[in-house]
Amino acid sequence: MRLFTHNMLSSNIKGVANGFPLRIEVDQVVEKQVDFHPDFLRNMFPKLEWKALVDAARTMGYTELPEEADSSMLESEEFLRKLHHALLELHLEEGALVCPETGRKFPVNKGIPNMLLHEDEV
Amino acid sequence: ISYCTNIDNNTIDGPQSPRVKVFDRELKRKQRDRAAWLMRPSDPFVDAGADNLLDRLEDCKKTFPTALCLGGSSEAVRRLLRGRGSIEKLIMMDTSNDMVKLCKDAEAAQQDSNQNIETSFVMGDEEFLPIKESSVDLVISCLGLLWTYDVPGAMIQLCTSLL
Repeated sequence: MRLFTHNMLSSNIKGVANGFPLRIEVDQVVEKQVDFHPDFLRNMFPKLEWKALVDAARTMGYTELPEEADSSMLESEEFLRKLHHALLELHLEEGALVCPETGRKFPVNKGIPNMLLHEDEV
Repeated sequence: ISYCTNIDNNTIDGPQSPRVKVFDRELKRKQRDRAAWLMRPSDPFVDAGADNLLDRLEDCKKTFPTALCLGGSSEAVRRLLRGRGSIEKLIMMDTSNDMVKLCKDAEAAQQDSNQNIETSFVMGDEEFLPIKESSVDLVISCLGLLWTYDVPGAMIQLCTSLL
């Protein structure tokens, strides 16, 4: 699972008012190179929840992203390269996503998060 | 907040009561696990269905940078996209682990024209959608929602996930 996916996932357990962002528990992170497409990143930027992305990247061991970001920074290639790395090249291969309200863990195995709920959670 | 319409609803009674479980969703999930192993790499009938559905994207002036592909023949949908809808980011979701793996393996082995689409894979249930509100531009499901029990509930959740 990559961080652009994490930025869209939310816990949907019954009774949870705000299931976003999911906390990340890391067992294994892998990095895979992806071609750099600045326009893709520029289009994507307005929809990102920045704080969730920064926190998630830190949990995965990548601390280069700035605390705050605005669209003027999209001019800088250095910034785009960092964003590219955080969003597209870091993979949470093994670990878990944790619901911020209930602490329920959604396991991530072989890069696929399992967001299915148990019967007593729906 | 759960938008599922079949929970704690004591006000509706009779044969239409939402508490009646018509499908065994857990069994359906196992059946899809099994189907993933028995599927042919490309079934002309399924491909024709997916192709027809994707053709409708060409009728839209709008582009859809972020798309969610749900259940059903999602592997065929991804394989046959060919730039339609200008999709840049695709999330493929299924309740069946083996079906998700099949999509992931097919994507990893691809030699086709969809290499510029960033794809991700999630096990999830459309009746309890794990997608944040206002985060996708398009939801595609090709032959996928027919086993959904709570269709109105799933539709409400899919609507909130759209921008």
